[in-house]
Amino acid sequence: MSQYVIELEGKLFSSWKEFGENIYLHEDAAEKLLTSPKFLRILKDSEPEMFKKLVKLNHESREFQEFMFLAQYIFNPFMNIRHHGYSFNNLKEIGDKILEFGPEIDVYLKDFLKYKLLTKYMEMMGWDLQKPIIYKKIKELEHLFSINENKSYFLLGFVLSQCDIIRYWKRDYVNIEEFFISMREPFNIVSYSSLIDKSQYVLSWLTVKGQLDQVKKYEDIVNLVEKMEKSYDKR
Amino acid sequence: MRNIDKGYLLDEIVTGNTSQSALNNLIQWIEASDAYDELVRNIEDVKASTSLYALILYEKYYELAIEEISSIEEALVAYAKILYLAQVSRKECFINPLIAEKSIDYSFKMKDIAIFYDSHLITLEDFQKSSDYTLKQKGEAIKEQIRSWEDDLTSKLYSVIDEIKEYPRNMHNLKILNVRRSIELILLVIFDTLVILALFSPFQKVYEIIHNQYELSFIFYLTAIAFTFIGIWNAFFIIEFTIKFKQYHKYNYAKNRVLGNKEVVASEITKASEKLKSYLETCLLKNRPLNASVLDFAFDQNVIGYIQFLYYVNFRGKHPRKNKIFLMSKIFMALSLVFGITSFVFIILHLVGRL
Repeated sequence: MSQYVIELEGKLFSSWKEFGENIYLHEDAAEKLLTSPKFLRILKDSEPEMFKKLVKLNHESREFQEFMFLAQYIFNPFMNIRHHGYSFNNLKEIGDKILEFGPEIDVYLKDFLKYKLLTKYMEMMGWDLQKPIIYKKIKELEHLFSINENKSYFLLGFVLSQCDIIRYWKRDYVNIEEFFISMREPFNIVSYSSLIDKSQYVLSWLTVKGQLDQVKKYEDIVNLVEKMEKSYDKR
Repeated sequence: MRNIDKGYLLDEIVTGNTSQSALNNLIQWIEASDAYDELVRNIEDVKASTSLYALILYEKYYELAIEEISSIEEALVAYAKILYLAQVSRKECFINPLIAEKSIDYSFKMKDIAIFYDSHLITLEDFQKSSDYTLKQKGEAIKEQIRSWEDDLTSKLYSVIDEIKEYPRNMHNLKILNVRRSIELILLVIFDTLVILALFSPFQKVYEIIHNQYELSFIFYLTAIAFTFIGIWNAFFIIEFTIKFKQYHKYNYAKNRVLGNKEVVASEITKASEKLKSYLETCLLKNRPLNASVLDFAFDQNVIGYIQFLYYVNFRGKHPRKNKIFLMSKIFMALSLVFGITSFVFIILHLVGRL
């Protein structure tokens, strides 16, 4: 690409590889560029294979986030995992980042499950064959995402980080008793209670800690009461 | 549901720790809820109803046992039950038109009754108008509902009849004129005859004594008191006899007709439910409003009344025997006997010249 220079948000790139490495930092601007006729004409002239892949991807992708994530790998196929400002060298880093924010949820990290970006990346890199167990687990969580988004999100965090310590409001808890003793404190109980169902963080952690039956019992009772309340309100 | 209760619930389920203050707070919240308030009000009507479904509802309410709740889990499960029961304890949900009672159900029309169909409660009016179900489905649902109302009535009546027959404790043969009453009647007739003979006596001396022509105040007053007591005794005997006649007649009629003849009861129940079925099917087919009162289809309340009456007689010992009239009758009988015999003796003594 010696005769062309690509400008993206004030930065100039003289190679497609370099351009691809920076797409994740300026996705909105990159999207405008990738769909502009002038850019596509230049790409077609200089890299016809890249152009074909980009056009095909544009036709197949239904979502912006999915298009931008996969498009960057057309220009730089061997990059680490990059998405919307985040750069991860391995899967564990994604897991750690997810748990670091807990019980808050980062919507861009959620995209990994929502648009199946992680499994698509693993397939591109051949990791689906190299790491079949974790690949299968992520596939299951993608399926769970359609039923319970937040639970699958935090379960992804625990699966990828391979850790069963919960980080809650910047504090780490190793065992369950210790966590609940802290949450019983008057300054914690109200906020923690309001987030249990909304964030699903604690429930995901308890699932990872082997408390699946207890989590199910809790969910059954809450669902029962809420169902009866709705029915009563509609009478 | 409050979020804070979710926090305590999860804690309790996972660690086994129950916060007593949280539990007390939750129970107070439940008892102050609209649903609980509505349920407590509805239960009064449920208790008064004779429908089997109402009985089941009342048992479910009784099983709530809020005062015995000892965990957040139990409290929330009880709350869910309260929310459910508050909905299904509304009058229209348990009223059985075959057992409708005038004093309680007079304001209800057939369109107000709710049935349970397709996993939810729906009034007959809404069911009739609904376009979600075909005419055939509606017809089948109506038949099924009437069958359950009929079963409710049948099981209720039959179980009581069978129980009385199996354990007849107080089902004596009651006679209006038993030995005691017959003796009393004979005595009364004798005394009445003596009074009439005394008042209109052909014997001059007796007549003069009775009408105080000898100024024998003592005998006169004694006789007058005796006659008065006999008169009152007559009155009480007649009143008691009339009451007993009615009670024993009802008892014997109920015992023979209802207890001794379950098939008659069965056929009358069938007639009542056929009448109801015909009405509902006609309204459904011709799209007529279901404005008839539920009382129009109530099974013969007299028969239900007889069975309840026999139940109380047999198991509660509420026998139609003694009452205050009986007591008064016996008092005046005794007084009449004492004064009557005494005055008779004095009259005889006077006549033979001893006085």
